[in-house]
Amino acid sequence: MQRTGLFIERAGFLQRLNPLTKVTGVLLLIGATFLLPAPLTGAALTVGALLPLAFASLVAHRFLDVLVKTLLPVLISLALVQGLFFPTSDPTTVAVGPLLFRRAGLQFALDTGSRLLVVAGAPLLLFQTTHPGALVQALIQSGMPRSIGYIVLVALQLIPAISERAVGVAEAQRARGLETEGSVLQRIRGVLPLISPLIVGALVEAEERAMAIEARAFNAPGPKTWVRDIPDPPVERTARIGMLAALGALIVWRIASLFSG
Amino acid sequence: MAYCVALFWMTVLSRRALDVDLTHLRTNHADMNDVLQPHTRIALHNVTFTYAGATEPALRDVTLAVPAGQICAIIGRAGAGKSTLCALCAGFVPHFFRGRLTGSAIVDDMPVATHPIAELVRHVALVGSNAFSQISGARFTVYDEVAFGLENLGVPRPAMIERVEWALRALGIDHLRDRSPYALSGGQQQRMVIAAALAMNPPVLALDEPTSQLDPPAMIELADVLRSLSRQGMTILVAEHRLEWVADVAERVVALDHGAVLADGAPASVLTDPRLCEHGIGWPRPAQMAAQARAEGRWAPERPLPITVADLAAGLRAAAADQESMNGQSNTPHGLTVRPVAEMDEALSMTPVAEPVVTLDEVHFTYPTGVEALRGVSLTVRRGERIALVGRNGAGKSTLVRHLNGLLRPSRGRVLVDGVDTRTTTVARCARSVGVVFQDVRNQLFARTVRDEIRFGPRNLGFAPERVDALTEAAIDALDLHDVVSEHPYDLPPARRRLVAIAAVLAMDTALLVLDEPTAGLDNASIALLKRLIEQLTERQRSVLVVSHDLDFCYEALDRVVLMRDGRIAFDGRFAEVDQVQTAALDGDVGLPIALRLRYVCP
Amino acid sequence: MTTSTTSQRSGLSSTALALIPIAIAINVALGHLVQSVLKLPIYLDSIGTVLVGLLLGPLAGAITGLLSNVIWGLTLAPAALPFAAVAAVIGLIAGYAGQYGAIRSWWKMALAGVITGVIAAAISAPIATYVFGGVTGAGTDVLVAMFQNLGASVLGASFMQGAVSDPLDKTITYLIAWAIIIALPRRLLARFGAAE
Ligand SMILES: Nc1ncnc2c1ncn2[C@@H]1O[C@H](COP(=O)(O)OP(=O)(O)OP(=O)(O)O)[C@@H](O)[C@H]1O
Ligand SMILES: Nc1ncnc2c1ncn2[C@@H]1O[C@H](COP(=O)(O)OP(=O)(O)OP(=O)(O)O)[C@@H](O)[C@H]1O
Ligand SMILES: [Mg+2]
Ligand SMILES: [Mg+2]
Repeated sequence: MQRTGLFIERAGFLQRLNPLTKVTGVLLLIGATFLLPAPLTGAALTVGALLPLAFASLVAHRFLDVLVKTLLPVLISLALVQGLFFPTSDPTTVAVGPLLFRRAGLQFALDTGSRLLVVAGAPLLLFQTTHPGALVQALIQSGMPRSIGYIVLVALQLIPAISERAVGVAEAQRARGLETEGSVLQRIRGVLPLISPLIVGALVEAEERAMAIEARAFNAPGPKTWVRDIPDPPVERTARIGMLAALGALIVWRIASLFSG
Repeated sequence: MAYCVALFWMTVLSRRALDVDLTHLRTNHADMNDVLQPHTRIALHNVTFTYAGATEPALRDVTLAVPAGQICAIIGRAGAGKSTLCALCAGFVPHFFRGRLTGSAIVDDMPVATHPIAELVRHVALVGSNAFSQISGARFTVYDEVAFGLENLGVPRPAMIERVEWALRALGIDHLRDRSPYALSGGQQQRMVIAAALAMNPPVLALDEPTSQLDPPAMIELADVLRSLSRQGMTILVAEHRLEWVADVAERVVALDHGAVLADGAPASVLTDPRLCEHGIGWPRPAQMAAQARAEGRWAPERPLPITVADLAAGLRAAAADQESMNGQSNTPHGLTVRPVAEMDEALSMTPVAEPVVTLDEVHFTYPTGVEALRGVSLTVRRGERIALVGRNGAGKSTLVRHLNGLLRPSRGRVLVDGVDTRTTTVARCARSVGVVFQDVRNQLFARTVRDEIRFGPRNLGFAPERVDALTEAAIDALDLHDVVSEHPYDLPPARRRLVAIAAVLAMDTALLVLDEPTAGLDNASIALLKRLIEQLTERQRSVLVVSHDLDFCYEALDRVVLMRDGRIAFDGRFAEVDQVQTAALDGDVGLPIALRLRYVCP
Repeated sequence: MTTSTTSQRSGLSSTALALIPIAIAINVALGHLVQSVLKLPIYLDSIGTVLVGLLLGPLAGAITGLLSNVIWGLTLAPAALPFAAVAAVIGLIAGYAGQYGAIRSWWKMALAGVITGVIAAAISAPIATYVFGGVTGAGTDVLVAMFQNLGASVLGASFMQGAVSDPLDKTITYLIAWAIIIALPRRLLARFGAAE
């Protein structure tokens, strides 16, 4: 697999947009879910915004797949824990089979769950439709420290590499006769002797990579340039301003409504 | 989309001649330093440097002046100070590796001690000796990786694209531009990091062991590139162990010994200087062979010793001619001084009926990225065999090696280790009959001391304690590690670390020992150590399979040669019996050992 | 002790630049293993953060923690994202623990672990409550249910859950970090400037 995180190479709608536009969109969506009444907003935004966009960007299948995989455990335990044990004075309960759910608990779970859909879904969609390299470049060009961008990019590529390395160390140990295939207990015990060589090796590598960073003039003073160009048509710039304005309006409205009662 | 721009430039540029873009590339430095009248680019005066925490200085009173446009090679044994000298010229000593520096070091008119690397980097580029650890990691394709340095220097996009395209072509990795920098073979990675440095087009270039993973044709190409760069006025400092390559590329050779300059001058004189042998650096093979020929009266006493094969051949021919004119009988085509081992000890050359240790049967393998690395490889390794696995960078050698102990399992076909299919067994099981030392030994070391490291294997195999001790000590002897048994493996210099990795696998006393590029970065002394080791193993009827680009080493230490090309086996024979055709095949892909070259190419 | 030049924008040395991403990857790889695969009631997702804090100081530690959760949230488990602030504080504390010299003895490390754990629990409780309704889909949710059943509010239960698992988790983490650091080769200790 290519080490590009969640990104899926497709020629869809979102893929054509400037990363900053998408980031602003994510902020607006998440902001809205917390500022507007749940559970309606969350559900509405998921069905009305995220899904259509996912389809328009030809990633709907993978989007839903990942979203479900990552959120299902949270949602289930949310329903169970809060549905069954939500601290509330409201005695009304709902019987589901043998279980007695508390109405207020279910309500709470529903609100939170609907919010989570957007909180998790919006960034997911962003990352499935934006090459991390392009995203970081755009963020740096609009003011993020280069070193932060560098760290993020390297880490993104290292996560699969380190997992492979963990495997690699295990394999090297196995190649020298260490049995790691065995009962669960054996494997859990095998985790610790794995961590230490993994980290020492990583530290050695860090020293060498530090040399590479210097040798490639990363810290050289003066203006930087980019070999790839990220188009940013005026339309999108205005769109971003629009979205930020909307977000601001929402916040103002929310605060106002708080004071009014 | 800049990518389209890049493609456009690519198509435009691919029609240009190398030197044309070179001149083009140089222009922006013309203002910085006048190429026409060469002045000193690297000026070291009485430089002494001691690493923090080290007792001995790594450089002692070194004085060296390298004029603009010169290719200056640094040679010396392991630990002589070559890498330290390179690091110093790029400012990594003392700014990155701390220690005590005395004397003055001025590179491209910049006093190294008083300018941070961030400034020096515009004047000098350094390529470190470990090809595997110099990937910035921040870029997703080879193309962007090579561009990374230029982005940081703020080079305008069109110029940047032009330089990147040129560097990719100069190092022959144009076709890998869209690969992940991590999904490359050892040699391909080394080409990439060199390309990344060349693209930055510095006035001064410091290369530390640039050929350690390169196949011979790539070495020749690199030599050409460096020569044409130096013609453009680039000053090039290159630390190397491969003396034959040094003889080919260098205009000047500096020999270091224990951090001090031992000899300094023209290659022809330095590389045949007796002191090199006295201090264990050794001579390039042509000089060695001529010296031996002279001793045997087959080389005119007054004739200077050659450093290139051509001169060697000419000299031997001349001598042979004289002999003939004197006494009518002509002697054999200059009776070779170095013979394939098979000829030397017929007794040892194994019988074909010896039982197989590993059998590959129509093995195919495709990496997750879709790269088809093996396309139907069949190979049998029998007891007591000494096999050289050779081939160009990316031919599939390391991929094949990872199949020999089940680390990789064939996509199609099967691998039998001691008659057991690797798909039905564990790596740990295979480890009992096949020991592998990988090309990149980084995540092979995990113990806290060298001795523990070496004991690790035999202990895991559940040998009796006294056998474990015996094997451990034997391995320590074989690789001459007595002085460091209680050190942390990562406290040793890289070359020594590789020897530890070899010892660790050797101690497992397996039927087959596999070494992937064992000679990379080793000095002649350590290489001699390896040769002796391989001999001892064969005497004990152990098999050895060595992946190497050093054909002379293969010829002198091994007897069967397997040539890989594009994931297939191009031919499989014995050095002693190769014919004209096979020689041609070898020559085309990985060049020839000198002995064969003398016999077939310039007889 | 490392003297590699620092980048103007963020004051991070190139050594830090090289080490932090690796630490992040270690956090994520290990954390994912422990939480998603083994489903233990601890996280072990801050070993990298603690290491960097101890070796390179508070700033580097905080950045490691922050970015670890950001990246983790955006690649594997969205649940991690809102807790980025907590992770940052953990790195910060580890940094100060390192400057104070906790490395010198194992019990100081254990103590630092407990303190870190309590503080972490205190900060994460409100986040867990407001964003996730107290649960994260990890093994620790069982505890939340238990405490709520004993009559605690969602916020209270989240805190108690944290107060149970965090100090334990962080103590283990610090002890692992300690074991690793004291075993480091001399050259690396010199490079990363840990107190001998
Ligand atoms: N980072 C370091 N810290 C302490 N000592 C070092 C360091 N790097 C090298 N040395 C020591 O300095 C001396 C010179 O090392 P250097 O790497 O320059 O030798 P070299 O000629 O490059 O050896 P090789 O042929 O193995 O590359 C050696 O004794 C080595 O152990
Ligand atoms: N981890 C990897 N992922 C994807 N492709 C790879 C990987 N490693 C190697 N390859 C590719 O597989 C092919 C064979 O690689 P391999 O490492 O076997 O070559 P090699 O013969 O060992 O070359 P070298 O002499 O440079 O070591 C090459 O094209 C290489 O780019
Ligand atoms: Mg060296
Ligand atoms: Mg290889």
